[in-house]
Amino acid sequence: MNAVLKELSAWLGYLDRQAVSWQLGFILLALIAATILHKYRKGHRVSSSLDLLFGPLLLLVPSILLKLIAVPTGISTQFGWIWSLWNVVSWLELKLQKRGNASRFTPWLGKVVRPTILVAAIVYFIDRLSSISSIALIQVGTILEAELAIGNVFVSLVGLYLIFVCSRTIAFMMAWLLQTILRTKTQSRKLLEQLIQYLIVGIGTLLIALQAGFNATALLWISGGLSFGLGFSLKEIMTNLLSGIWLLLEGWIQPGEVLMINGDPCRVTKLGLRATELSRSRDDATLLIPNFTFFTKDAESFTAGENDRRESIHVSADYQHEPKAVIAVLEQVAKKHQRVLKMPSPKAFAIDFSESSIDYKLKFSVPNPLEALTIGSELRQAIWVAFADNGIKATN
Amino acid sequence: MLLPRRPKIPLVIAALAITNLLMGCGKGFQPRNTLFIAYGIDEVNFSKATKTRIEGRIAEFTENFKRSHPEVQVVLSVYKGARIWEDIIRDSKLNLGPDLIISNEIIIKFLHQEGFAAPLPAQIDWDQTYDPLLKEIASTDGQYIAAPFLTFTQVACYNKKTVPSPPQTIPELEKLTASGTRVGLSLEPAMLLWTAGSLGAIKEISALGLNKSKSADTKAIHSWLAWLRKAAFYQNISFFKSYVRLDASLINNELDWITCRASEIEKIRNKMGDSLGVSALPNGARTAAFPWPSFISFGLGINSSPAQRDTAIKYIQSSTNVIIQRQLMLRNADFLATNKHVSIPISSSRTLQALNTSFNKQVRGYTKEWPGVIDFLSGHKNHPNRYQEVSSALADLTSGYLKVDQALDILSNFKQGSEP
Repeated sequence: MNAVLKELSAWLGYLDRQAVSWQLGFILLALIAATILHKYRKGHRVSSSLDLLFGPLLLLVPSILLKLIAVPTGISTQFGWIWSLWNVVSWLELKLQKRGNASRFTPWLGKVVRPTILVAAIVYFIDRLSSISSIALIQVGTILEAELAIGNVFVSLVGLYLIFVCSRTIAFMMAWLLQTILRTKTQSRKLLEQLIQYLIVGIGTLLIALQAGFNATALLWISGGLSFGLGFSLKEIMTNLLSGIWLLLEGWIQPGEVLMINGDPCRVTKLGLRATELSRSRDDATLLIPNFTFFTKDAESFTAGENDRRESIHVSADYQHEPKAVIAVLEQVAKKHQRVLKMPSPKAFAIDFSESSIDYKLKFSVPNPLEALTIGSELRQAIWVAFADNGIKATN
Repeated sequence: MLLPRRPKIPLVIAALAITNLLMGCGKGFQPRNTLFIAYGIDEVNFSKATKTRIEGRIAEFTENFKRSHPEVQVVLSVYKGARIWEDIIRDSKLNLGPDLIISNEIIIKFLHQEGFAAPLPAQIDWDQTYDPLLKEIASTDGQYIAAPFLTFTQVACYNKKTVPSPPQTIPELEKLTASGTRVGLSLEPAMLLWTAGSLGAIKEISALGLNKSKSADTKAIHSWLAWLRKAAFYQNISFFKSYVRLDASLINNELDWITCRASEIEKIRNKMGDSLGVSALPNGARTAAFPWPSFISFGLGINSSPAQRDTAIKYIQSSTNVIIQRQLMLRNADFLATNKHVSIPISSSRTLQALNTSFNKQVRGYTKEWPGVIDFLSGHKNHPNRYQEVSSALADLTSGYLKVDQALDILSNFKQGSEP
C-alpha cells in the first residue's frame, strides 16, 4: 500500500505546472457553480435539462475557446466531455422515467452505463497522470502465495461486478434461446435459466480467481476445507443450498407449479438456492420456504409438473329425468365455458342412485389450478341456468 | 432570483480557497520538486521482474543525481514499449506529460518531430560529451534532440561449458553447429541483420533503403538470403521470433549459442552465473558483422514547469558525466558509456571487450550505411508496414514457405511501396 500512497502523493508534483493547476481550479469552480444551480433549481422552476447542461457547458465552451488561442485546456476539455456523457445518461434516465419505460431500461443505465463511464474516466485519468501499465504492476498484498497486483485486483473486481449484474440477463437470453431451439416448456426454461445463472456465477468467479493469480491447487484445497468447515458451522444453510441444487436438477418443483402449503394452494414463483419463493393465492402473501423442507415433509402438488388441473362438481337431479339428458346438459355447460380446457374434454358421470335423486359428477380441466375455485363457481351457476332452461329439477 | 442563503457563502469561500491553493499556494503543501520520468518495456518482456530490473538500473543514475539534489522526488512511470510514444502524446496533450523520456533515439526524434519532445538546450555544449557518431544519432539538423546515456549493442551469448571457444567467423559458426552445438538466431529483422553484414549485403541493403538506384545490385542480398535458407536446413540452427524465448532457451540449456541484446545480459547472467560467456558476433570472410546497437537516451518532455525543466537537464548532465558513466559501466559491464571521454577498460571484463569489439569495430564500420539500413527496415510514412513485411518474408524464408528469389522480390520491392 505504501507504493500506492507514494504514487498518489507524487501526482501532487503536477501542481507545479501552471497549466495543470489553473485547469483544476477552473474545473472546481465549474463544479461549485453547477452545484449551486442544482440547489437553486430545487426551489425554482428551472428545467432539469438546463440544470444538466449548465455544468458541462460552463466547462467546455471556455475550454474550447481558450484552446483556439493556444491556452492549455486539455484536462478541462476531457473532464467536460466526461461530465457531458454522465449528464446525457442522467437526462436519458429522466426521459425514460417520464415515458414509463423505466422498468426496462433504467436499471441498466444505473447498473452498467454509469459505472462504465466512471471506471473508464478513472482509468483514463490514472493513465494520463502516470501509466496504467505501471500502476497495474504495483503489488498490494499476498494471498495464498499469490502476489496481488493492482491490475489483477481491479480486473477481478470489475469482472465480479459484471458477473453479478449481467449473469441473470445472460442466463435469461441463453435459456430463451434454448427454449426456442428445443421447444421446451416455459417452466423448463425458467429452471434452466437459474441453473445457467448459477453456472455463470460459479465458473466466472473461478476464472476471475485464476486470472488474479490464485493457484488452482490452492483454490481446490481451500474449497475443500471451506466445504468441510461450512458443513459443520453453517449446516442449515448448506443443507438448504444442496437441497436447492438437487431440486433444480431433479426438476420436481418448478416455477409456476402449485403446491399445497398448510392447506393453501401456493404458486412457486422462484426456486432459489437457499429457499423457494411461493405466492399464496388466498392473500397474495409471499412465502419463503427453506428448500430442505421439501425433502423432510410431504408436499402436495396439484400439478406434478403440469399446470392444468382436473376438477369436479357434484350435482343431483330428480329421478324423473333421464340420466343421458342430464349428462348431455352438464357436458354442454362445461364445454361452453371459455376457461375450461377442451382437451382433456369435460365428462359427466352418473355416480349414484340416492334416496330421492340420481347423483352426477362433472369432471373438467382448468389451465390454472388457482382459478379452479372461480371456474367451479361459474360452472355451478351455468348448470343452474341450464337445468332451469331444460326443465331439469336439481335436488339435494 | 436570489440564491438560497446557506450554501452560497461556504461554497464561494471554498471555491476561492481551493482555487487560490491550486493557483498560487500549490507549493505550500508540495514537499519537493518532482521529476516525472517515463520509460518503456517491450510488450513481450513486460513484467514486474523486468520493471524491477530496469528501475534498478535507473536508480543507479538517480542515486548519483540525488547526491547533489536531495530535494528532488523522482517518479518513474513505465509504458508498454510499442505504445510509449502514443501515451506520451496523449499525456502531453493534457499537460501531464513526463519531464524526462527514457527511450531509444528514434522514438525521441519522432516525438520531437510531432512536437511532443523538446530539444536539448543549445547553450549547453553537448559536443563536449558526445563524439560525432553519437551526435549524428542524437541530433536533427545539428540540434541535439536526445541525450544518449547507455549504448547497448548486439553480441553473442553462449554457454561456456558447451562452447569453450566462441566462433569468430561465420564458417566457424557453421563448423560448430556441425559438431553438435545448438545455435539460436533471432528472427527479428534488426537482430538478424548482423548476418547480412558478415555476408557482405549491408551496402546493397542500404542502397535499397536510400532509393539510390532502381537497378540496385542485389547479388549480395541474394547470397545472404541463400545463407539464411541454408542455415534453416541445419539441424542445430533454430530461428526464434521472440528474443525472450531465445534467451530462455539458453538459460534452460536448450541452446548453446545465441545472439543476444546487451541489455539482456544482466538477466541471463543472473540465471546462468559464470557459465555465461559473451563474445562479439562472428564476422564474414571479408566483411564485419552488422550488430544492431541501441542507444538509450534521454528526451525532454514539453509540459515541464521551469523548475522541472531545470531539474531534468541537471539529471541528464549528472547521468552523462564522465565519472558516473565510467563507474556504472565498470559496475554493470553490460553497456558502453556514451560520454566520449570514457575509455573502455577492455582488460577488466570479457563482456566489455565483446561490447567494445561489437560497437567500435563492427558498428562503427557501417556508419555510412546506417541511415539506409534504417530506412530499409522502417520504410517511409507511406509504407508503414515495411518492418512487418521484412519480418514475414524472413520468417517464411526460414520456414521453407518462400524460396530465395521470392524473398528477394519482397525485400527489393521496397521501392514501389515507398514511392508516394
